[in-house]
Amino acid sequence: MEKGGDGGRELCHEDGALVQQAREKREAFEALYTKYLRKVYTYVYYRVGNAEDAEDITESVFLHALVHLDRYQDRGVPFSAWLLRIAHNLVANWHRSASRKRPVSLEAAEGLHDQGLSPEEAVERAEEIRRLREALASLPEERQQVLILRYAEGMRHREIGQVMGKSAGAVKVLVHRSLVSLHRRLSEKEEEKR
Amino acid sequence: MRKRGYRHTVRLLKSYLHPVDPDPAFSRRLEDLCQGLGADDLLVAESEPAGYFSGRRGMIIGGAVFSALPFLGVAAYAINKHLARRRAVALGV
Repeated sequence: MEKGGDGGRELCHEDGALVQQAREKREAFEALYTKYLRKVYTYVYYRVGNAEDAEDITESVFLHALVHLDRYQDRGVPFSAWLLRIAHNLVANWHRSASRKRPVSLEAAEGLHDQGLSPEEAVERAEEIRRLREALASLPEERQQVLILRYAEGMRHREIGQVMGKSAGAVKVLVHRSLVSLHRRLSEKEEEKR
Repeated sequence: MRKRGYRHTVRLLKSYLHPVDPDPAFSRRLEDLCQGLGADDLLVAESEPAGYFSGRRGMIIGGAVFSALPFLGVAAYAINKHLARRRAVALGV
């Protein structure tokens, strides 16, 4: 996974060269696709909550990027940030659609089976994750976005800022507020359960 | 059940959110789609509306400026009259 600092700048230049190649020869887009498929899919997956819709939206993201590659301009915004912006817009459209009122799927918890948990602990953990998922889904869109980019994608504040059009400081504050808000909602859900 | 703290929520979130690999079959399908003729067809199909609009843009802006000319003329005439009236008062004093 890419990190910020000088490494991030190098990646940005590297992407610029790949984008240029893809503009001249569309087959070269494969390199960009291979590099960022997981990143885009992860973001979309946590935003929509199921693999089927995540695949559809991810497909749209890359086709959109391929079609509009000429519009991408390397002005310090990495290609990955541009892709994630497209993903964010398509996910927002998906959520706006009145027919998308599915409950959040349980798929996301599948990879969470900790080794060494007793059956009782595993059940308790699964229940905890279910509440967490509901609490996360109930947060405003911007807060969900920032938490997914921070913790699922492992992106730095500056990198998230490039996706969201905010400064690193503003992202830091937003991450903190989102965590506080998530904790509050989770506590409320635990209270309800008691 | 004991009440969990803020740090526990952060730990829980970190354990829940992790990179997810798409289904390999989906990855291959998308790769083929990007490489294949479908993407080229899409490029042609989607570039047409943009070309159409960009060709018309100049005409739309030109039309708007041309339509505004009579109003600009009236405004210039009114300002000129107003200034002339002010000058006349000043000379009279």
